[in-house]
Amino acid sequence: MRISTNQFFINGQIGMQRVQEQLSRTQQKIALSTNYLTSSENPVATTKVMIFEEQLALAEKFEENIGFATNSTELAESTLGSIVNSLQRVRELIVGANTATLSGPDYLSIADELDGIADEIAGLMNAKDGVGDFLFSGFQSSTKPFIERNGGGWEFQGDRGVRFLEVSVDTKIEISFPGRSVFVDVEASRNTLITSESEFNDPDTNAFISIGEVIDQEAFDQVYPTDYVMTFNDPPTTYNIVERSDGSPVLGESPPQPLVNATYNEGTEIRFNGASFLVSGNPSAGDTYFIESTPREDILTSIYRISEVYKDVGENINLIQTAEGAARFQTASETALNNIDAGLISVSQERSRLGTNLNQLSTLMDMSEGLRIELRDFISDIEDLDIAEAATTLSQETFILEASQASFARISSLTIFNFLR
Amino acid sequence: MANVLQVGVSALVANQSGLRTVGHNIANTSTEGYSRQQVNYVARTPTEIGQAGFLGNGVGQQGVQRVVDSFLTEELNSTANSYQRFEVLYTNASRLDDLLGDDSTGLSPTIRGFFEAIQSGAESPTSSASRQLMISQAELMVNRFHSLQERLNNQNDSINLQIETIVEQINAIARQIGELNEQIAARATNDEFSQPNDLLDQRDQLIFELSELVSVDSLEGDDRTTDIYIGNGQGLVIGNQVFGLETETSRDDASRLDINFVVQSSSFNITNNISGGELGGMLEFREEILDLVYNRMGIVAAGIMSEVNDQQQRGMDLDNEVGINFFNDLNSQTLMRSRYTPDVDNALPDDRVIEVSIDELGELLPSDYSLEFTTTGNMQYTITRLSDDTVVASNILSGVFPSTTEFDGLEVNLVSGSFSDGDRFTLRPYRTLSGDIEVQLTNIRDIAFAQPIRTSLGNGNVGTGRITQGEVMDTSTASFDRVNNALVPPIMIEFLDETSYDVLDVTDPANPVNLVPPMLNQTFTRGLSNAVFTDDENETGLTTDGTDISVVQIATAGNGYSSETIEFTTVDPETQVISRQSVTTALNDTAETTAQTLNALVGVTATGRNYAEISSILSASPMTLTFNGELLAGTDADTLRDSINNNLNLAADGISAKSDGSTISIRANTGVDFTFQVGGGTPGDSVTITTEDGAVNTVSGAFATPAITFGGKIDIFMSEGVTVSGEGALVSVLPNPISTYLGYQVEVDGAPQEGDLFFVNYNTDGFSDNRNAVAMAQLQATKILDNGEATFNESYINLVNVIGTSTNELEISREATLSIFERARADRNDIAGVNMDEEAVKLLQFEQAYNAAAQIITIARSTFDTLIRSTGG
Repeated sequence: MRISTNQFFINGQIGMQRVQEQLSRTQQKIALSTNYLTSSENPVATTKVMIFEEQLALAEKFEENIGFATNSTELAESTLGSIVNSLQRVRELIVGANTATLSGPDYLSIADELDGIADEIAGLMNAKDGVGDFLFSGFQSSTKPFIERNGGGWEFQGDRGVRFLEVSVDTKIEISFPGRSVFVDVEASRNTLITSESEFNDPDTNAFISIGEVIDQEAFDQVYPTDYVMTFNDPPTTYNIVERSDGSPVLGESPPQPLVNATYNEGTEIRFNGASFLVSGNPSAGDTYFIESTPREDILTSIYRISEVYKDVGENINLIQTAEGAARFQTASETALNNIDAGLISVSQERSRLGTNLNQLSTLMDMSEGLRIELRDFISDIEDLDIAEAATTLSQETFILEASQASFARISSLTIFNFLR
Repeated sequence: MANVLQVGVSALVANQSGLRTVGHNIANTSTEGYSRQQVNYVARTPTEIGQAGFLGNGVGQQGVQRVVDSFLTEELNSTANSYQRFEVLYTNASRLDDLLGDDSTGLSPTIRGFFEAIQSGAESPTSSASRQLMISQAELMVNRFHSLQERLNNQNDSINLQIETIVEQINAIARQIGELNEQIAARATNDEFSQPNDLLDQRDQLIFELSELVSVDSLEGDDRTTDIYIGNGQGLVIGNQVFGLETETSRDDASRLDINFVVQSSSFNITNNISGGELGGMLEFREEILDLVYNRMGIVAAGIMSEVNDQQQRGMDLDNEVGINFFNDLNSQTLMRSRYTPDVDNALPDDRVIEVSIDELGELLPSDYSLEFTTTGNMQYTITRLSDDTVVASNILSGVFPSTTEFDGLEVNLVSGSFSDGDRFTLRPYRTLSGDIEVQLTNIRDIAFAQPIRTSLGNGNVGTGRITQGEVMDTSTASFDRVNNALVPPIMIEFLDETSYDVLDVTDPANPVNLVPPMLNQTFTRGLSNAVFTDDENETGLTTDGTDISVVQIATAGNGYSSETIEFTTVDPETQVISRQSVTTALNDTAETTAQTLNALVGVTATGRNYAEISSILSASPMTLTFNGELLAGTDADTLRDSINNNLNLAADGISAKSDGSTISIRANTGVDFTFQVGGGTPGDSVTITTEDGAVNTVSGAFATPAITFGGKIDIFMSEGVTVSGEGALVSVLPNPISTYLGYQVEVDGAPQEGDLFFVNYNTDGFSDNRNAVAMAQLQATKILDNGEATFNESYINLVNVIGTSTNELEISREATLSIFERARADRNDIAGVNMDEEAVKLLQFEQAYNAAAQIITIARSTFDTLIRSTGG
């Protein structure tokens, strides 16, 4: 076959160029230690890597979330543990106070200790997490969940909000623990009441409603569940108390007449249907208070109420000298004990639930770590260069290049003109 | 002797030509397009010498011929053409491939980073560090979008520049071919063996170079000239006449150049007819690959802007305010109006305004569209998807603006201007989006990680009912008071019994009132999660308020409601098909009956109810009150109440009563008529009956006392697209129904008991709430784009995959066409190229022959000399 001289040189050049190109690619791959220099070399594999990397990032993020959730759950769990210990002590005190051999000052000192423990528990319930947010206040993390009320007793200010965090593709786990369901919504052994003021009350008044109590359980249970609304008239020297459901007026205890346009005597107990509470300060016209019946009592209020009973008895030991007084005292003690037990159950249940969560978190962590390692393997399998193979390829290509260079040099010098002298 | 000399001279001359041609060949060994030449020798006509036959007369030259195979030349041209096309396509595509797939330039890592920052926000929603991180990661992502857009624009600009250069090259080559044609025509003869070989070679070489730039057809004429045709038959070179190409800004895209063919003073666009070669490759890359990248990236940007903004708007920030846009608004007026280009030929004035809004993310397709008014004179326009040339919508501009058309997830509004028949527009919804996306939110307090509502339970709840934390869909409804940062109205759900509840406005916690329209006596199903509000964004509601309502009938049977035809018109939201349903009530039909009839209609829910208050009960002696045929016991409020509540017949009609000691309020959940009659007693005995609307009637006893009757009301709720009209008895002619869509939803489950309360309120100070952050973070893994099959990042990765695959294919095609081209070049060179050794051999051959010829002349001379001498010299 005839070959033109020009083509001969072109062929030599093309051949060497190709090998050089391959060589440079192989060298680059070795330098970067990667199987593919651009995604076009193997679009399927490289997009797979991108998707794996996306999943990997997600897994890493989930692990971070799991770590975060574990921390806050552990913190909550240990706080609940401390609360359980304190409640045990409360229980012991109440059981101890129930022996008939105590003197007035004994009751007072028990009451003192109870108040101290209540403060301690409130402190625990108002615990903050690592970033300074209240652990048990729900969504309002900057609102202190448990505060002391005017006139004594406790009030919960948080909400039921629960923060969740994604810990795997379709699992969310809570990282905040609203105190409402654990500490407030505790089943009471007897129906009781809870008082509150309307958010629309004149913010400038100094008036407040006491925490209230049930003084005649029988009468109270007879109309249970009934909620009441107390509204101050204009001028606020009189008030009305009506049933919330139909607006019918309530019959006061003494004197036994409807509490319509009843005269307001600051600090005087208002009693009806077994309930008792008082309003202090100078209310404004239109100020409204709610007295709601409830089957639940929060832990701090339970402690507060029994402590108040002990204080009353401590100041006037005669109160329990009568058979009726002793029975009432007995009932109060039993009620308190039952309520504290219910509180203990509630807190312990929450504790064990958090324990379950911690287990789940640790399982998820293991799974996620497994997935992460697997994904890394996948990526490495696709992406990482087999150095040995690449080195072999490199030396092979180097050899070919050298051979073609040498042979080209030899052959190209073969021309008949060399012999025409 | 002279003959011998002649023969010698002919040999001398012939071999000299041979030597010269060999020299010429050797000289042009490396000349591109040169074809080796060879001299054709022929023995001269012999001289007849009688019986002895013929004596040779030496050698003659028939001509110098180049060795070419026109088939191989054409093969070379066409293979070079396709190789160059793929070379250009591959080079440009691989640039994109490197850009999009690389971690340091691609979008993927920054999208991931952005959503990871939101995850951190979900961990600690109040932390300013995580909020700052979200903004800075968003800026990183946006910068990456911008730089990619800039690189795409640069590539577009560089293509423009290259198109200009190539067009100039084409013009220059065309001119040279024209000149060569002229020279060739002047020199060419009909003799096959006598052609201007080197000029022909030069022209072949020019046609080869032209083929590398663009596909052309060449046609050889009679006078050896070659005509060159481009596009679909435009004569670039005809003989020695040369026409040219020019570039012009595209008529429908200011950022691009089109190619025109110039004939004398006029020119016309042949861009769409250009194919092959470098130029064809450029155009193909621009249309098929660059546009795809622009559009697909734009769709990813649109998805992120729209979804993150929407979620942000469903949230609440650190100032208790409803969230504002995080990115700029995808469908701001400026952006919506930047998505089209009017054709330059549209009739003046250039005043048409079109808005293109991007609505349904899952339906978007990476294509541009053309909007064309037909020329039929009825202002009809069609919209064509350019990626596959499919008509996707057509509409008629009836003269009322805006004229709205929806297709492929987009909505096109013709807003104003003198649209006329024949108008054309190009719609490019996504072209600039990657450059348009901006982080608009700057204050970290404005990031809405919380949701604006929270729920709670009544303190006295007895049952085990639970309420969900609530989900916010839309904060632009009237429910969200953006001035006072409050929920209007705050909601109380009160259970009437285990299976029904009222939904009330609890703005005043001491005095809950009905919503407008009321939501009373709703059904609760135990064991299910009961959604409280409607999910239909366009549901409306009204309470019957016709002329007959609240008119109290005295001493007549029935409520006096006239017969009325109530008509419901339904416009199907999908198909726009209109259907009508109507109900004709009979005279005195109760609200209960009518509500039941209405309930049977499609898209209509109706609830009847009735209400009355009995007050000022004056009774000196036994007076009887008959209510709906039931004789009630007692003459004071509480006893009457008990008498009503204990009556089974009344209870069957859903009637219940409450008393506050002096006034009884009676409520019927069914909408039955109320009839009251007083009997017995003495003059002066009376009760006062007040209807819900405040119509006051005193019913007296003692004498022939007429009964009073009045009917109830109906609360009507209508699904999206349903409107109502009536004749006025119950429904005023065209009432103005109120939207009942609140923009949020809560669900109640468990087992609530009578009197249990649930509240929905504004999430004031709920800064630790991370629900919205979690919802935003979940966007990362939600398959939103590409028919709901891809997340944002997956959609982008798919783009990388598509570009990688095409680059891969193009590389293969480039390699294939390259070796075909090289083969063709080798074939051509094997025939036409110079081989040095061959020439060397010929050199020796001609040299020897030349020497021999010189010897002939020497011998002829010496023979002649001998002869002269012998004859006496």
